[in-house]
Amino acid sequence: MATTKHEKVSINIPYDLIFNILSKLPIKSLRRFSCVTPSWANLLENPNFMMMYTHNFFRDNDHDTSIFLRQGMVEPYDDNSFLLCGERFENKVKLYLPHAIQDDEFKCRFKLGSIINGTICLYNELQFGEDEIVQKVVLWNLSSNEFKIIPPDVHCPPGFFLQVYFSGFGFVKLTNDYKLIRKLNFVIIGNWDGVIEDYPVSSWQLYSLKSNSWKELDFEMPSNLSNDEIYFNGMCHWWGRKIFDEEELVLVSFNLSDEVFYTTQVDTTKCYLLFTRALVVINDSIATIVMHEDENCYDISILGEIGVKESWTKIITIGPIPCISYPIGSIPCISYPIGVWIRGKIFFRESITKEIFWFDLSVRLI
Amino acid sequence: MAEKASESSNSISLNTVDGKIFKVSPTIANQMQTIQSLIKAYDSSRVISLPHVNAFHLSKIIEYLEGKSATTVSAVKEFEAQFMKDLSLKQLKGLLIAVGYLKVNELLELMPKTVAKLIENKSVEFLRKFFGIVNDFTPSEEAKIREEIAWAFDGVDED
Repeated sequence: MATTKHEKVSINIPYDLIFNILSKLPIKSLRRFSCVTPSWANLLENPNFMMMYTHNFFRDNDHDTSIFLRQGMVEPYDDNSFLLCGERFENKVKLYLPHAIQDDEFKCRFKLGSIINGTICLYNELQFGEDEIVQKVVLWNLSSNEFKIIPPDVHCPPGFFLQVYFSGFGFVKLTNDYKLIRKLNFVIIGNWDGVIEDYPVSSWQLYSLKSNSWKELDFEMPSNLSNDEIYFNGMCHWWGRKIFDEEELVLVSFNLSDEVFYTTQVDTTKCYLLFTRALVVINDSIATIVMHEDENCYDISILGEIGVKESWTKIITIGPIPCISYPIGSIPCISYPIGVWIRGKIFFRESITKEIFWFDLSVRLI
Repeated sequence: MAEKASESSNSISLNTVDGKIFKVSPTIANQMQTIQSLIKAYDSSRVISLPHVNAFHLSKIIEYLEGKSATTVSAVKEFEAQFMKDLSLKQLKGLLIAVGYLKVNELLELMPKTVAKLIENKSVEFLRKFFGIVNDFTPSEEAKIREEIAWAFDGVDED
């Protein structure tokens, strides 16, 4: 072939094209290639390169185009759920729950995790009735309007008080099955004068829609501390505190197929508070948006490898933002909307007026 | 017929480094910025010599520019995917150099992405060889960095 003659004379790709290629690599590869040559070692600190990198990173992201808003929790009986959609989120669509699942208790509800295949999971707080404990958990498909009420399947022995913590809503592609993860805490009632049965203090349970049942998991893991759980790539992720070290904030990642969990420590030197930290998925990576404690700036870091604290890689700092806001998705308080990251936009909720605004990272404008 | 004749009389002749002459329409030629400026600078009837581009690369570029004129977005995507799939990493490297020289903007957007996808799981040694980069680290410096980012070496492809 005529080309062989020329390939012997080794011509290399010009530098600008090499950097163009590097700016399109996942963070893990980029970190690995920092030992190719000294000039590549500090690419992550090079503002020009990072400008190019973040531009590609945020622009390539075209996942879900709608966010779910939950309003009206200040007035619990005002039933307001909205879906924001459209290219510029100009459409605010009010969601009407199917009649069959509407009742007074359920007006006060929360969303669990991400919207998966158009399906959301909603639940309300645990209600203690005369003899029974009621909690409504619903899977609701927004496009077909079909819904499924999940059986609570809990029994609270006498002398105990029950707490239920939902940690994740996810999907297993292989078996086409939706899953829920919860932790049950049995707290002994202090002034109980009856007989107390020997009962485990807590248990983790996994629900499968296919089998329509909860099954016990025989291990402990850190439970969900905020309302910031996400589903990504076959795993449910949430913020927790290390089991043996309550001070340590970790990202808990539970693999729904093999039912194994991993924890990844996070750097909390700049921000210890959970409500100023959001957990999001950006361009096929797990990311956190962390507010600096003293200024209205936010760092966005990408997780390179689950389980490795050092693999969190800061890619950009944005701000200052003109008002005090929390990144949406981060707020542990029950009353907040959960929306995250769509097409390179980061959503914030103004802390007083509760207005939603977004910061468009591909053009760096609010 | 008349149209065809006028097009061929307008066509631009490109001479590759391995001595093959390609005749391309002005529409195609103008999508290569380097050629566009050469046409402006010279008489368009002249044969333009391309010292850095061989016949294989030029034919690929022309194939791409002609093929991507599909009507729907999904058809273009499919064409692009097939076009890139047919090329080896080595061929991609040569083609990317040619594309960089000719300044074919659309391929300059697409090709780095394709190459990035293909090298993301490669080893450090593979990258040095692929990009022709001399390692300026001392062995101890490199060992230190490797130790710090040991996690990033999981799941690397065999060279």
